[in-house]
Amino acid sequence: MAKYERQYYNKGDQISRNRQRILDPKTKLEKLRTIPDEGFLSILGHRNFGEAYKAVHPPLSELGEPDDPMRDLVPPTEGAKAGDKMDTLVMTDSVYDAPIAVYLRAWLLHNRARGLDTGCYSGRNTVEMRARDLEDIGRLLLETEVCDVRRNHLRQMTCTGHSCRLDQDGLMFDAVRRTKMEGTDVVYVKSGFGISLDKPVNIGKGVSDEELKKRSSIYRYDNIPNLLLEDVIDPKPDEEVSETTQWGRRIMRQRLYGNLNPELIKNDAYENLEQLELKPRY
Amino acid sequence: MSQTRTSKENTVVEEGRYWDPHAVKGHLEKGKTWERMSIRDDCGNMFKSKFGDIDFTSKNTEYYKFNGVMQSKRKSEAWEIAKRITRERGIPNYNPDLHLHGVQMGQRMLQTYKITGLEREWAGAEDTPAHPGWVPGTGIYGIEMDDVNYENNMAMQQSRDDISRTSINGMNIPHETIERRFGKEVTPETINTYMEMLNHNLGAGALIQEHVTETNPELVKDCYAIMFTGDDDVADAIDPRFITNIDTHFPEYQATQLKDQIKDKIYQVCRIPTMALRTSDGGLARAWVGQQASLAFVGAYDIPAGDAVTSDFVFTIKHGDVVFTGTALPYRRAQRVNSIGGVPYGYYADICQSSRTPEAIKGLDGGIDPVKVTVEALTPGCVLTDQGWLHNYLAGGSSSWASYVMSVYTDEILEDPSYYGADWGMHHYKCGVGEVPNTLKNGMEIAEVVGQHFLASYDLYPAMCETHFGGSQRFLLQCAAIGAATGCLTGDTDLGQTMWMYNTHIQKEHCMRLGFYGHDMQDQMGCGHNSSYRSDQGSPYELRNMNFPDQAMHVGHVGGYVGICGGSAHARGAAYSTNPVIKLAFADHEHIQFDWRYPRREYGRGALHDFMPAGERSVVCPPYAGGITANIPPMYEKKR
Repeated sequence: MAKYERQYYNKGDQISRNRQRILDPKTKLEKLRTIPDEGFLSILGHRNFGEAYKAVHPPLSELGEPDDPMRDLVPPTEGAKAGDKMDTLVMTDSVYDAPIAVYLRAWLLHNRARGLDTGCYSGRNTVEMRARDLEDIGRLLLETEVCDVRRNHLRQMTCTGHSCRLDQDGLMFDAVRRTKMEGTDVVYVKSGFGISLDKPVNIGKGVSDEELKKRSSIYRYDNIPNLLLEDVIDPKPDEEVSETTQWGRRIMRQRLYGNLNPELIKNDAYENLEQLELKPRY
Repeated sequence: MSQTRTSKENTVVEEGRYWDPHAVKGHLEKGKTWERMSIRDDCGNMFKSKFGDIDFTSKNTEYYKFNGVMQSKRKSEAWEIAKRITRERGIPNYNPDLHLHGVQMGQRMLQTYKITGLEREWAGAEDTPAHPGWVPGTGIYGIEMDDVNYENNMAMQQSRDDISRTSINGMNIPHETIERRFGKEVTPETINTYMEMLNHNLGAGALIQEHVTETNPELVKDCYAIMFTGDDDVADAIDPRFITNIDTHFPEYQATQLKDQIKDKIYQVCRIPTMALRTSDGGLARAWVGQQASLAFVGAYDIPAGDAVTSDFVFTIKHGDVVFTGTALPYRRAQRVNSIGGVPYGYYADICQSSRTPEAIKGLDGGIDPVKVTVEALTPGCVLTDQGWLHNYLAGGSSSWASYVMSVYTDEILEDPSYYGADWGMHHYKCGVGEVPNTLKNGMEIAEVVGQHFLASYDLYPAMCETHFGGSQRFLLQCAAIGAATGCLTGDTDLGQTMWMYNTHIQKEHCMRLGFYGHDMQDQMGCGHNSSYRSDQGSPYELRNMNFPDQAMHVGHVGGYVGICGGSAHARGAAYSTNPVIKLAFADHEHIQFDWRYPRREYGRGALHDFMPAGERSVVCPPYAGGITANIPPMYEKKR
């Protein structure tokens, strides 16, 4: 029996391969830009440059925690060690070929970070962490390939825009106009909270629309679709449809059978169950 | 839900009708037309009414040039009104300059909407006493979103009031008590006398008391009592003013089923005054009718007032055979029976009467049109459960929330994919509505067809995606369309709802996003729960309501469930979804203020400020405040 290796996502098409690449923590995400500390903190809007972190409790080393085996198993994050307060970061992702979208970011964070709480809406993805941990992750989310400066924005409130058409420069709609184009570069002129910045923050140039289509993690009918018309109007069995569709169908059936009668799960093309070495623990 | 399956009568497929999938594919490949769009001309008009002459397929547009809220007639009016109120009261009021960090709402085009169905020639939409002067066929584009805000729309409020102020009492127990305990005879004549007395004292009058207060009838003119029975002989013997004639209100196959279920039982339906209801909650209807009906019995049958037998008798009237439209709510919700928060989905579907309209009965190729039943039942479902209950009552305050569910009942956007799915299913499975075997495989096939259609439309028509700018809106629409199509084809409500849950996976894997947090919780686990034997997970949808554990946070979705309950039942040839008593209690469109046959039309009229609600107090308000003061007290006149 082959050893189970976590797959993170299927490899059926370009979109799913992009998803898998983002989700697999062994893949190093390409760094596309470096935002200066002062600029980064000003658009995040929680702490001024040079200001100390606000704490909600003394450092753990001073607290004198009681003995607990869980504490040995789960080491605290840097922010937790220092007693930082919790801060939140909210990202908005356009539906137009953004390199990452809300659920994918949540899964990315769960695979690559610890000590976080994330929530998925349609237009925003909230990430809650200890202040200094959040700043580290914020850099990952804004500086690497998972952020296109025109299609993924940091918006702490009033996020509407992910589904609106793009402006003439390909920039997402933002009622508060936190960003604007300067030549080919995108510049934050307001913080995530919509407060005007003394010094605008240039976060660089977005990639071309063609390149975005290649990097996209969203199925689209003007790029790569998932459910194909010919597959649905003349229904095809599992083995003839895309892997992502198979995945959705299988989750649906497994959940339904599982609640109805778990014995039924065995009958539903789940011979993989043994291969996955899940059976003994079921 | 036990109903006779008569769907053979509703068979709609013509043998040999040609279904050409390649035609659809051709359209999609061009990226210009959408098969359904070209058939149903309205979508193009809809886009034009919203955006002007634009290329619907373009991803790019211009923003930030629309002059904020001043582009909206309603919002600019509101600003002017607020300035006056601020001057008069001295406390600041509505001020758009406080929107979005000092940037006014309206940096993109504030879209207008079309209330679906309002512009059509409604064959059965004659004037009713409650709505004089309505001209069928008035075309309505350009309704502003503020006009369907629950607080701004009188029809929406009245639909809530009409449910909550209804009390349904079985008459057989009181009649038996009268005959056995008091030794009096109950005849059609005595019933008529009783009904006349009840209509006198239910709203305005006193019956057996002397020197007591009475109410100005103008204030309570919407209050009345009426009866229905499944026994034709009894119905014929009762004064026609007091009886809902099932034969004239329902098509024959529905009337037969309803009468079979009701049999010889007589039910009395009372609507207490809207004005009284609005000072209390739905629980008042039971108390009010219990009190007034008891007095009417005492008056009509010469029952001695105050003795022990009468006390027992009053108990039977108040509690013996009372049918509530909604169950009482848990303590934290703090409302009694008949509240819209406690109405089961199946009851909502039955309250809606679109299934007996000519449009629905002759809708789909000569058979019943369950899609129409679905979308009509879904509309009050959305308005009442989401705008009225979850947002207005539970969350508190109604501003902004209407935008969520209004996407479902505007712009004919839901009909399009629902009919698409129904059409496809009838051709693929070669049978009529309600006749596709209700297997999981079939359900998933239908879900994928409709899901593909919707996802492709959002991707290929960016203006449509912008119209439904919230993922929750798109999710709700797609799920509702899939549920509607599946329910209509299979006649199985639970399969329709389960396919709603399947769409969670279809849409999530396609877009990597859904909507509000709640989708993670209820909808993703819903596909499992729907098949559960546990009653707090797997109860039939007809019997669930918003207090069902899975559904207390189903923001925006509950209306869809209501629609699917209605459409599925009628697809399998039933006359009602859950309870024939509820169906008949709301059948008297000639009396009730809100016309439940055409809920979308009514809400549209509310948006046009063309719906007259009940419960107006102007008759006793001072003229300087817009009142009528029909009867100024003499002392007041002298003083003046």
